[in-house]
Amino acid sequence: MPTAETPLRDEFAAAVERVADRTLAVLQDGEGTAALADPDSVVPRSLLAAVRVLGADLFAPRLLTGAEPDGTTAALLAEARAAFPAPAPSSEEAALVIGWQDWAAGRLLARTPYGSSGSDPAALSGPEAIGWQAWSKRMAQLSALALPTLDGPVHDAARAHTLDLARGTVRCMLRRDPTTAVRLARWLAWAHADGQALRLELEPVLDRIRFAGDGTARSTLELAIAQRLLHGPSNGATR
Amino acid sequence: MLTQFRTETATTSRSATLEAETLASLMVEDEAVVSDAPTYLPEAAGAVLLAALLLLSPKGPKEKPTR
Repeated sequence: MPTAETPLRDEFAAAVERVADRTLAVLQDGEGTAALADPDSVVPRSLLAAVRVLGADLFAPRLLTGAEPDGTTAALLAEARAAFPAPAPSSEEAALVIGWQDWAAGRLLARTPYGSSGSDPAALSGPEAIGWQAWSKRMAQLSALALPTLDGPVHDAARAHTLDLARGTVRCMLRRDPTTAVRLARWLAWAHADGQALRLELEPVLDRIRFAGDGTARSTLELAIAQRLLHGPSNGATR
Repeated sequence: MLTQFRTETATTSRSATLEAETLASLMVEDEAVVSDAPTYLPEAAGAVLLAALLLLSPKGPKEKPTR
């Protein structure tokens, strides 16, 4: 899909980095979930956009420790979803991906007073229909769903096709695309935490991504979540 | 009481369409396009190696002047 290289994109991307870094600090250092924004001040639009982009991942530090989504973050996410309704994607496929990302955020919001009812998006095609390469690319875009306590049709597909996830991860590593690789590795770690057999030795893959990754807070957050899913809360340090 | 935030609204100069497109591009990131491995050029490496060795090689021993 075409990428909008504009000052606005730079502004939103920088805000995504800041919010991802904050979430990562909470996940790694166990810092208190200090509010991303002060309820008494005006929330900048770029921060709302960042919250909208990260969606369900905002709750990762809490879900990975067995806690429920916190109210302040939920309130901010609900505001972000109201300020930015489902964005206009360039293709039907991208619309489906965003639909499922919103489904995950909606499911988590539904556990708080800020939830609103929503319907499930259309089902995604499996690897037998579109091939493991295209399917694994789509699963990488849906990595935010790979969180404890979230379960649905996308998770069923991940459980049923761990070999395709492993193939996709290896393909991305060979293509030197650690950003996509870490998202697929996260799905594999989720499947492992779910009790599925590992189809790929994940530890060296995650080590390699740690050294050769793009170093952004967003990717580091994905890496930290994958490690937490793989090893549990005792071993999630990535920096 | 439920928490409420005061939020900025979209300005006219920054159209909602552009915001929506930007948001979509950040939410659905495609895989990296450029992924070619560096091409191995043995002749280039040989030339660099030869130059480096020539520069780094010790000078030949000099004979001391005899009386």
